[in-house]
Amino acid sequence: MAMAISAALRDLQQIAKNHQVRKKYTIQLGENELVLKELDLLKEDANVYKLIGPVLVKQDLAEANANVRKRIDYISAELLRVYKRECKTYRPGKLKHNVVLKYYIFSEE
Amino acid sequence: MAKGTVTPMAGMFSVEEAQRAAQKMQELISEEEKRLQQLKDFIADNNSLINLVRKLPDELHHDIMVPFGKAAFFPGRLIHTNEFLVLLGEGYHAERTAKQTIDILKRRGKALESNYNALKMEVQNHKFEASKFDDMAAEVAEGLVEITEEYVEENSAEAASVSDTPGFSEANNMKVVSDSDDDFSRIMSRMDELEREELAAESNVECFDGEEIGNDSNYQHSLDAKNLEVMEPPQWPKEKNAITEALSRKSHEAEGVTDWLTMQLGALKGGPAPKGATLPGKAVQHNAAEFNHKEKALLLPEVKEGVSPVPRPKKEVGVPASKSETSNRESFTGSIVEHTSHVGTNAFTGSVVEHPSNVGTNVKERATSSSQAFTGSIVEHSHNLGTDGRVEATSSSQAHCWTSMSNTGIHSDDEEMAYYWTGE
Repeated sequence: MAMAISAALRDLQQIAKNHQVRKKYTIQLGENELVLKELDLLKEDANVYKLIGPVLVKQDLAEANANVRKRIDYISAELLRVYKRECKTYRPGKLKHNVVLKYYIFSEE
Repeated sequence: MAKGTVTPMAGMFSVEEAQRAAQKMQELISEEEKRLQQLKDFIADNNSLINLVRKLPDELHHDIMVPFGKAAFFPGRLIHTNEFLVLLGEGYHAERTAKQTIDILKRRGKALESNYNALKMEVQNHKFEASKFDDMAAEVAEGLVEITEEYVEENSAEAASVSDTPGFSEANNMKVVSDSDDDFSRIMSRMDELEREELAAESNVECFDGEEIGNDSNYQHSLDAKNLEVMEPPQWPKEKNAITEALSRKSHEAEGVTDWLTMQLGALKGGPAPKGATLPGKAVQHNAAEFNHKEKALLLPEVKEGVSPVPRPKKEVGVPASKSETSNRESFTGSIVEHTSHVGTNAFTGSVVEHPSNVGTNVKERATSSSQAFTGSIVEHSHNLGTDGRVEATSSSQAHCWTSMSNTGIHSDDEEMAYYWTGE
């Protein structure tokens, strides 16, 4: 029983870690979408600068748009991948088992 | 006769559990409130920034003290007062005029506001849940008892609330009724009278007199045995006297009662036999008894089957208090079933506890509302809620409570977990 509990605990920790990662990605995705929205509102000849380290580099509006879009696609793909991985490893059956143990642990604390 | 089990609520959820759950909710709430405060600060900063940006282009150049390094300033000039490099996010800056900058800032402010409002609603919900947990913990601490019976109309729940668990004898019932809450029992009896009047108006008076007397005064009878016998009618005469005044006073209630009756009759006709119905609050039992009696008077053969089905499966685990008690009610009569579909209070009414001082007021204020008055009267907690809308919200959150209890151990809100937990 103790072993099962520790295994479940490990699983739960993994799940929590996954959630952290997912949260981070979600926040980044949100920010990038905001940037894209603002970039779309800019006129063609507006100056866009990118802060790389201590340097402000002038960028082309079209280039900036493309970069931000690519980043958005990348982040959403990552998000999906992490989510799928979590679903696979912690499949429903196992998840249920985990939940029972989690509650057990919770009640033991 | 009365056969039932008395389960101390402390046995169902231990005191520590309830308290711990309440505590975790509190922690969650405090965290959320910190975040809420942070958002508020952001919004304030944004607004002051908008004001500044608005004022800058008023001059061609401003004379300012320019910060230099960590600890120095030197006098300087702020030129190009209409050109702003605005951070869009992810390291991207855009050159914009003051007006355009203000537009950007306003859009950001709107997004912040919507976040803030959403979080505020969340906090409110959690606060609500926490209060429910607190109430539950208090109940358990008081040593309240949940009484379950096999489809017998009882109102011995009151006895339980006093932390004794006498047997379910009729005498006990009567005693409990008279002992525990004078106000409440008086009001209930008036309501009973009213209902009786209604029924009398609709149906034969004979049935009314013959079979209802004892039933009304004593709330026990076994439907299975088709036993309409009367118990002691000590209260009967007193009730009868009060009928007229009760009637005149509660005409509004009578209307609701009539509606109820029709509903129940309809439900009864189709209701299959109940199994092991359990039974919660006194008032409900009382009312259920009333209805049962009336219906019996009207449809004797059907009454046997009249015990309403228990539509919802009883779950002992997970949502013990609320759900099992909901099913209690349903098993009672068709009327209760109908009721439960309307009222979310079932989740609460399971709590047998009645703080006498509150109950009286509850009943009074509920008496004026619609048919919900009957089950509503048992809900002592509801007076905290205030509105019916909130009550209904609670029922769903009550079911949710247990899932969140299991989840508060880890702050990851895994929907699947929640799902599987309630499936347990």
